[in-house]
Amino acid sequence: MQGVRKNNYTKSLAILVIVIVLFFLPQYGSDYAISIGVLIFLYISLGQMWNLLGGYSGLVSLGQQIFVGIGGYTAALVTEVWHQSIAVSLVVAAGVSLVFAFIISFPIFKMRGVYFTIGTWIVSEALLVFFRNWKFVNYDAGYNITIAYRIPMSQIYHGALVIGIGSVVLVYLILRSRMGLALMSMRDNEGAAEVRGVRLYRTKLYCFVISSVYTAITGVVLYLNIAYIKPGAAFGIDWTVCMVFIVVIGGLGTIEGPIIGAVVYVILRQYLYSFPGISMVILGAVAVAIILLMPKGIMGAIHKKFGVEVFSVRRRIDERLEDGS
Amino acid sequence: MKQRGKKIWIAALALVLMLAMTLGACSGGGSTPADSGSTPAPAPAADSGSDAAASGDTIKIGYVLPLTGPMASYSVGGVGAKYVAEEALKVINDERGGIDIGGTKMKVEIIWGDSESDPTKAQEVATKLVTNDKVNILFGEWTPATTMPVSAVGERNKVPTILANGPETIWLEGGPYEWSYGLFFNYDWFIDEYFNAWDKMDTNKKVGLVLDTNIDGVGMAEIFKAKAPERGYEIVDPGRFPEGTKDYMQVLTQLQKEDCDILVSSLLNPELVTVWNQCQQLGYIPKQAVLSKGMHLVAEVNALGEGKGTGLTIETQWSPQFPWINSLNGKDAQTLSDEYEAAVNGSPDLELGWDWTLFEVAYDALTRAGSLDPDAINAALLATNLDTTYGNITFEANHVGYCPIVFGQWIPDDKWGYKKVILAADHTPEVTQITPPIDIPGYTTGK
Repeated sequence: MQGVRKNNYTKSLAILVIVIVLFFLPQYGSDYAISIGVLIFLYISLGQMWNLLGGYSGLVSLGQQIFVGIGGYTAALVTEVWHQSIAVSLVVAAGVSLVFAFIISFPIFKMRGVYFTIGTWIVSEALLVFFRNWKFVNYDAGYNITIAYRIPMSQIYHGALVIGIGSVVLVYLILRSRMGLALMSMRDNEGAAEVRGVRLYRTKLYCFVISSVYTAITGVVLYLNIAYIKPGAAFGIDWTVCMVFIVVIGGLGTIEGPIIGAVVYVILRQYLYSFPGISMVILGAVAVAIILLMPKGIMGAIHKKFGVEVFSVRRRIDERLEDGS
Repeated sequence: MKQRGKKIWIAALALVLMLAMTLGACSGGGSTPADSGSTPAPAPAADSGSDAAASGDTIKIGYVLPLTGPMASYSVGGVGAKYVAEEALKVINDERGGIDIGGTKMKVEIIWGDSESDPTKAQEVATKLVTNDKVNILFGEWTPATTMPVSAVGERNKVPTILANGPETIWLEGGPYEWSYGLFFNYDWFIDEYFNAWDKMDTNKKVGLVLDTNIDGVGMAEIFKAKAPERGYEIVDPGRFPEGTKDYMQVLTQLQKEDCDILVSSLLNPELVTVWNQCQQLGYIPKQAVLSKGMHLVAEVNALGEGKGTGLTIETQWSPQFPWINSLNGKDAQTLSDEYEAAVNGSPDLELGWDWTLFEVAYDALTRAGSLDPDAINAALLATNLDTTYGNITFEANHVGYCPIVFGQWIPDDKWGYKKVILAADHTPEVTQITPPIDIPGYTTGK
């Protein structure tokens, strides 16, 4: 017991130091490091939120780009059309995505498994067509988010840092809570969980709404970074593909997974920009290789080999006993 | 076990710190692996000016364009851009020994960035070019979707940026710009030339629209309806349909019923082919048809089938008949076209003018700036007044340098199957080789 506590102490200290080092990156890091940092934190957040759905509660969604798009469009409309501040756009994005997540939850939660997956995808495609034909959002021309030209990179970086770390903390807290236990039991066996008193619908709904709202907030900052939004990109399946990639190579159903996945994904992409034409082939090959060699992702492999977990959501049952090894 | 856990923690911490320090230190750039498409120049004897030393010993131009993805069918995977870059660097680096920067001749290096036809990727790769490769000038090419994020990166990082290829309208919505310049065509002129060409044709002045909800379609429908009455044309508009629609029978039947002599469509290639095939099926062959956007390349016209492309019309951004002389190599449009055809074994349908003008404007601005200081380059760009492959280029207060846009027609040709001739160029009076229009063979309307 003493050892466990000591280890926890070291762990907390290490996390604190890492956070401090990252926080002051703009002071000593190059512009390039900052821009990569922004991407990594935002993709961590996207990965965490998809993992919360797909990895823990078994809701494999291919429609999370809906909320990236809602976030991005809110940022564009609030700052460009109504000339309000970024803070307002964050609040509006949260509100709009909350309402929208509630509304679409009614039809899509009637579906299970692969039907749910297809359902979410259809909603996002429908939204894409709708936005392209909607005069209010300037049709397919989209918006330049001109306010973003004037925001210094360090501010965007700090925004992204807060969102990235916030997503980890949020998921950690959810999973350590009663709801987390319910989520994991649902993931393992929905029927059994229900019999044991887990309120399936409500738990799923909370989970979906939290994930959606947070994804939308991430979308706001993503689009402040990109500074130009159009429907095809905002509601493109690419967003969800990258979320899935991040979670799967990092480790499905672990908190560390999306962090590792996002770091690998962003750095790999940067490197692959030097190989135009074959970059996608390499990215695909990496994904296939990781899935074959490490079926539980990089974090799964590390966990199996060394038994370390950074953010343990386990209720302290020794896994070696569980495995019977 | 616990001990090992602790060790791993300390190792992880050390790793993060090391990573942070490495990232912090590598601000000099140039640490990326040599890019397959890059055109490196041998380093000149260094000891150049202080600002030059800060960014290496070459002048770096970051060139963002769609090398892959849906847009790559237009840019032909960057074949044209790479050919022009090679030719331009031959003149700048080999013949002229580079550009005089603070008393030292510095060579120009191109670093390619693939936008993958996607705004998100365009932003990422442009950011990488600016922050990691420390490019001195950023180029962005092909359509608003892939160039707008590039100008946003230029604005944020205060890097002189030149965009090319597209209408100026959408780009201007994101202004005012301080660091970005656009080599764009005038959208109003572009539509005007349609009417100017139709004025030369013998039709019943009924124009049928086959346009989708894409921004091009919506924009064109609005501007056609606004301009038609004063030009004496009647617009028949069955309404917008979703992008990627597979069946146009209903729309075309309406145009047939109204007996529209002129059909206007601006869709992506597969849809455009469907529209034209369904016209044939219906027995509705208009006297004149504009098939825009998805029919810019001679290969696409050839793919319509034997003789099906004759007489189709389209706005035109490059023609060997253009009268201007390239400022870098002194060649005229015909020679540039011929050399391109010989070098890449293809017809220069669309982009030769944009590609060359980008390099001409950048070379001119860098030469006049005589420095790699972004402010100096920016000031030089704003003061641009250069006779290029695309005629005289100056940037107006809104940072747009207008490029020519004329109206052309596809006629059969032995070399590539079809070639484009110019039907109307009223807004570009320098273009004098105007050809009289022909009607589409076997037309069924207006009888």
